[in-house]
Amino acid sequence: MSQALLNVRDLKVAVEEKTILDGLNLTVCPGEIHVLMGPNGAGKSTLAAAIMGDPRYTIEGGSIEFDGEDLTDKAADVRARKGIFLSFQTPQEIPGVSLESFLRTAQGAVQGKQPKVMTFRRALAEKMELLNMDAAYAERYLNVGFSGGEKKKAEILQLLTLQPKLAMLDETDSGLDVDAVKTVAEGIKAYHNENNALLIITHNAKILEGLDVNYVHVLDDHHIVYTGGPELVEQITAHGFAGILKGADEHGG
Amino acid sequence: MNTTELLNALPVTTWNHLRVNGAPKEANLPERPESGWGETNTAYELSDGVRCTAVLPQECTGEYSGLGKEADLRIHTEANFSRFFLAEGVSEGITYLREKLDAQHPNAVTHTAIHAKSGSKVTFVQIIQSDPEVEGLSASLTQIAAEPGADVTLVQLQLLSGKSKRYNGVSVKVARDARVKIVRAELGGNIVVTGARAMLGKTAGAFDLSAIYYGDGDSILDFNDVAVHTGRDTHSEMHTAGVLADRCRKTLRGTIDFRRGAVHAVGHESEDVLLFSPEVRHRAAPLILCTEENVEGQHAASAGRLDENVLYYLASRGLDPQQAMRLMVDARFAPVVDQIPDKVLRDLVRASLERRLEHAQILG
Repeated sequence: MSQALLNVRDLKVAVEEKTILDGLNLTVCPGEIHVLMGPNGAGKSTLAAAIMGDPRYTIEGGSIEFDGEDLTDKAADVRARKGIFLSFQTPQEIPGVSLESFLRTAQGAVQGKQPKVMTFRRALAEKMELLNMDAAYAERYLNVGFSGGEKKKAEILQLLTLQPKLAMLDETDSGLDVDAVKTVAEGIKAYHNENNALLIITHNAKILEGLDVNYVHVLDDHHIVYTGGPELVEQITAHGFAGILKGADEHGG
Repeated sequence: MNTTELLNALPVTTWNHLRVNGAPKEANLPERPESGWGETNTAYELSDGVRCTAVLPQECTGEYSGLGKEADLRIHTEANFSRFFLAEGVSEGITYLREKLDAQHPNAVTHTAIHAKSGSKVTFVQIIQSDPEVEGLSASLTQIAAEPGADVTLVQLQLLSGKSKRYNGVSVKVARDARVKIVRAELGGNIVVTGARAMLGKTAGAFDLSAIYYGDGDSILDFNDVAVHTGRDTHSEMHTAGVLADRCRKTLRGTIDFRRGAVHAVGHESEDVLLFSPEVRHRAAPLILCTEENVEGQHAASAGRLDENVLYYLASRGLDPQQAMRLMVDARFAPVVDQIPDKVLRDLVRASLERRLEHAQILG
């Protein structure tokens, strides 16, 4: 195993004084794809939010190390500039800021240097084509009036533009039709390489098609109770979580 | 000459304790010094289809601005720079009126009249700037008369230093099928008193006001915009977006006055304010007056701090709080800034905002 990109140790997270995660451990190395599954309300989104640095969540214990640096107390913008990215379930709408202008600003913020307009536009057009996005969306205000599918594609467009070291996708496939899931999966494939890593939260095996998943984690009862290989996805899709959670209980997971 | 009436008076007064009946006393128009207002540093460039006239066109007179009759009269009589323009024909060009306050020319009291002849189309841009340390005064009265079918756009860009005072009265007369559009950016000054008043007296006349403001420090911002509808099928749109920081005090009065005869008239107004500090004083007095039944009037107002979810979303894309704040201010102002018909001026406005926001903080 190469040096860990993300090292979450004994993480305890609360929101409004309610503990959501406790004693959670997770290690992600460059080149890996991790899938996070679990029943509704288990805390999957909380984990992604805590890694991203959502200020609504309080980290009550443990640590989040990223690329050799302890980011536990760092703000979300610092973490983003270090290379962490979260694709949101419900992306924000921002009237007055075009998608293109937002992406250019974000790329400038992450890379510390504003990209040149023409070079940026060419690259953006290519990525939009890959995601089957109408070029006109670049001029539209960010996510305003976008369909659910277009919002998710806009998130993947941001992923491709910002090229983070770790991408967390929080149910990016939810609410998408079959074709849109396929397109989003193409975008994820285009992003992934041996130097970056993915943490995918999903209930749907479709988005994982064509991806070489390394680990599948099941989150329940505040922490990861079971970790297996890609075969676990099919098992959960076919039989649900009950069998795995029961097995985890019996093994003291 | 002393002014006794309230500046920016609300067309129908309400309880005094609400403090929206007129601009506060400390924002009164300063008295003319015994030595007079001195010379101005002003210049203008005419576009095709526009020429100067020596005499104030009578068509432009008879109405008053949002500042009020007395203030208009004072600016008219005390003006140290007056220019009257006659627009004929359709012009795609821009007539520029530039005014700069500096150590030698700290005061500009200007009177401008624009008489747009029937069927003409014309754009005027007023640019008001100052050197950073000047404690100056810019007081202007602009009187516009749009004859039938005329289309007049007036862009006002006020980028004064934080030490100058600004008074800006605009009176508008709109004839049948004519349209007057004002794009207004009040982005500087420690006292800003601005009032536009449009008379929509003839059928299908239209008035559009798109405005932005930025106030910080201990500045006082006071606005009084009025659309008076007496003609059939007349239409007014008055929309303002603002950002307030520090201890700034701001009042905006927006009045749509539907009078008898304004059958099928439509008037919409809105204000959207972003507050960066809990010490900001934000007052809004939207008013719809109605003595004609068959009209449509609507007002909307919103004020709030930056949405925490939006800030987090921007942070997750690498934007630090300052960058996020700038982006959100840009977003709020973009619909108005984008209407400025000159890229150089749009960049000038953005750069001015950028400088103001360098020191801005989101508090509490």
